[in-house]
Parts: sequence; structure tokens; C-alpha cells
Amino acid sequence: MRRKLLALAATAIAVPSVIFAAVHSAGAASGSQQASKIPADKQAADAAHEAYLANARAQYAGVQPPSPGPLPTSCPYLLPNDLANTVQPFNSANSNEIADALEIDTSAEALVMKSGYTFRVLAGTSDGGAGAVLITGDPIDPCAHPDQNHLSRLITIAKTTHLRVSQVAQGLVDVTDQAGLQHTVDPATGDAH
Amino acid sequence: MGASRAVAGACVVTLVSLSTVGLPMTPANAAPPHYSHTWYVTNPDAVPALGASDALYNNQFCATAMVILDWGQLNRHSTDTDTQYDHYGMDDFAGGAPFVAMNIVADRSTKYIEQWEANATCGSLDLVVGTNNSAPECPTSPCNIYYYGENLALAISNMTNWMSSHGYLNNPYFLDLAGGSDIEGDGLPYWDTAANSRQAVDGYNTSWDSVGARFVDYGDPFTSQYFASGDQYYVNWQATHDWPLPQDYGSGFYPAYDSLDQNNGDDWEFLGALSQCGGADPLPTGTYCLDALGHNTYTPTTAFNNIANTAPNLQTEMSYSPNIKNQ
Repeated sequence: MRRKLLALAATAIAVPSVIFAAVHSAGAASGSQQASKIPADKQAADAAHEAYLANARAQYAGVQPPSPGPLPTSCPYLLPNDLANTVQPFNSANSNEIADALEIDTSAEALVMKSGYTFRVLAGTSDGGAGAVLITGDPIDPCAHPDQNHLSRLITIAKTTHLRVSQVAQGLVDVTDQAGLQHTVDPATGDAH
Repeated sequence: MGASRAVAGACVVTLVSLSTVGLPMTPANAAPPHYSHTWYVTNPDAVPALGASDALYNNQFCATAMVILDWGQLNRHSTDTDTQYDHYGMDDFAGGAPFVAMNIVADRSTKYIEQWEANATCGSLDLVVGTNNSAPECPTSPCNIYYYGENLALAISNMTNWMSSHGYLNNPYFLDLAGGSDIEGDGLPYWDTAANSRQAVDGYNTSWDSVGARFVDYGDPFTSQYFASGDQYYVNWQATHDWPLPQDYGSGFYPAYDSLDQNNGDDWEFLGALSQCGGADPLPTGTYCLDALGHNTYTPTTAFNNIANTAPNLQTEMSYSPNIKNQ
């Protein structure tokens, strides 16, 4: 409906009587429908919005939308290839740099890699002390990983419960709480045991 | 977003007068439009790809499609790097409800439109960038819900200006952009109070600039001790930029909307009806389908027809039949 009327609107810029006749005709065809009671402030707001759109269309009439390019084949969480199968030193001096490179989160008590399960991340200490990040496995596209949502949930759980995720492995995640107790988290449910 | 708005353009004066005399654009008893895809966002980075696939889907029907991208519960992370929108954003629907900053919401939503435009061959897109009133609002950092509404309006304004300057408004397959919210009236503990919910609406309405986009309420019609009939009226219709796109999931919904309308001005105009069938396309066309939890819920056809028959002689804006599910 609107699609058709848009085309009419373009015509109406030059010949207003045409669109009036078209709309009037559509209304007449609907028979006995009552008058709309749309409040005046809504009508005015809509008119102002339509005026904005019309002005924008006129102002940029010759502008063609750019090609959006190909769809992204990865997401920002993808591990850079050249960092795979390496051990990265981790300390307070370079933690942010490594975190940026790996797209990992060091903003809370947890150090969790936002990546696929084929990576293993050994967390540094939560207070920024020395540690190591061990990266193994092949990079995968975590956006296409079916458990991506569970990883995101784990990040939140770890933040809110102050668990320190020490290892992300296939199927299960080991965590250590602030009292030093070991837990295993089921990624399917997010439950810690 | 409705039919009458599309024709305004350079003929604003003419159309205002037409609207005043009440010439309906869409007869209430017209056949329902084919349903459109609509999403609870769980993976922001995959939203652009949805724009491509949804356009290809819509090419089969050439529908005027309303697509709601519901980004989830409003929140604010004071440590987030997004200062453009004062650290406001949404917690999306993925497990753990990860935070998505407003600048990411705007960017991915814009890319959704880009991909739609690149793949559409007919029909058109009305996009709603939405949130909800889940309680507690802003669970992470202190916030002002009124400012949240302002920042959502700012994001919609920035997106619209960007689309304008890059020629998208001249693309025949893109119609409009609006803010919105799934505002539920059931109240605490799961849904926020009317006072807080109205703050977001007020922030959006008060801050609107020359863009002046609509605000689509796609919540439920229910009232509670936390949400009176007058509050539903306010967030659905009374606030200047607010328009209702009613949920219609079962037998209790459209009578409730009818009651709200009758008791609050009797002048509501609905934009369409929201359904929530789960499963793959094509969705059933009978009375019921199954939602994501396996419960009976109205099909898009039933949902649309019910709402169209609520105060039917007023429904000149009934145009949309979005069906929402998890991304």
C-alpha cells in the first residue's frame, strides 16, 4: 500500500491534484467507513516527519546508496590467525593490549575469551598479576558457533559471581572462585557445580 | 509508518486536510498482508545478514513489511566506550543477556537496512528499532530512564539522517524508520512500573527533532496494580509520537485492546498486529500455531484480523503483520 503511494507522492510533487484524486478515489471505494479521529497533534507530528523525509529525498535526489559490500564472514570475536598456537605472556603491563588483540574481556574478575570452544584460555590472576594466555586449536567463526550464546552467558555469570574462568574447553568450562574452589560450568545450561 | 504518511511528501497541507476529513487508506476488512519476519536480537553481528535474508523472503510477496529489531532490556554500562549515547544500550536476548551499546544497535540496524536494500526487488521496509520495559530497567549502572528515551530518539535521528545523506530515502524499497518498545503492563517483578515506563516514552517524545520519527508500542494490552488503563493509553496512543502495534497472541488480547480504546478516547488507530509463531516458514494459516515454547498462539492471519475488527471503522492505518521470534 505504502509502496504504491510512495510512487504517487513523487508524481504529486509536480501535480498535486493527481494524488488528491487518487487518494480520494481510494477513500470513496472503501464505502461507509467512518472518519478517522486521529488527534491533531499526531497528524501534525506525522506531517512534520513526512516533510523531513520529502526534503531529504529532494536534497539528496542524485545520491545513490553505496554498495553494502559482502556480508561479514566473521565477527569481531574471531581470533587473529597469527596469534593461534602461541602462548602470550600476560601481566598488568600488557593485559589490555593482549585483551584487545584477542577480543577478550579483562574488565571484571573474569578473563574469558569470546571465542570458539576450540581455544583454551588460561587466565591470568584477576588482580592483574602475572599469568599466561595459552591459545590452542584452530580459529573458528564464533558467530556461527552454536554455543556462542552460552559463552556470552558464561561471561556474564563469571562477572556477576566473581568466578575466574581458568579454562574454556570443549563441552565444559572450569572456573575457580575467589576462595580457590574449583567449579565446572556446563555451557549448555550455564550452571556451575 | 502508516499508509497516510507515505503520501505526504511535498503535499503536506493537502494530506493533512485529507486526513482530517478521514478518508481511509486501508479498509479494515482488507485481506491481511503477508507476515514479515521480526526478531528478538541474540547476535548483533549477524543482524546485517538478516537484512539480506529477510529481503529475499519478502521478495516472494512484495509486502510492505514492518520489521522490528527488538534489542532487549534497556540498560546502561558506565564503563562502556560508547559515549555518543552516554553509555546507554540494551541487554539483548542471548543467554546471559549481553549488553549491546546504542552505537552498536544503530550500526547493526543500519547495516540491516543496507542489506535489505541491496537484496530487495519489490515491497518495502518499515524498520522499528526497539527495546522493552523489563524490570529492573538499567540493572547495571545508574541511569535516567528519561535520558534513555532521549538517547534512543537520538539514535533514530542519527540513523535517519545518515540514511538520508547516503541516498537510502530515495530507494524505493525503504520507507521509514522508527523507535519502539515492547511495553508490558503486567508490572513487577518482571515488568517495570508505569511511572518508569512513561519516562522512556516521555524522553523519546520530548527530544524529537526535525526527524520526528514515530514510536511504536508493540507490548501487551494488560493492566495491573502497576499499570492502569490510562497508562496503557498514554504509552500506546496519547503520547504524540506513539502508535500501537498490538500483540495478539490469544483470546484475551484483542478484547483488552478494544476495552482500552473504548475507555480512552475511542480513537485508537492500530498499525497492524504482532504474532509470535515459532518454527520455519511457511507459518500455518489457520487459527493457531505453536510459539517457541510449544504453546498455542494466534497465527499472523488471525492476529491481524482480530485487531482489524477492533473498532473496525477506525482502522485506517492497519498495514502490518510482523511475526516475532528469536534470531
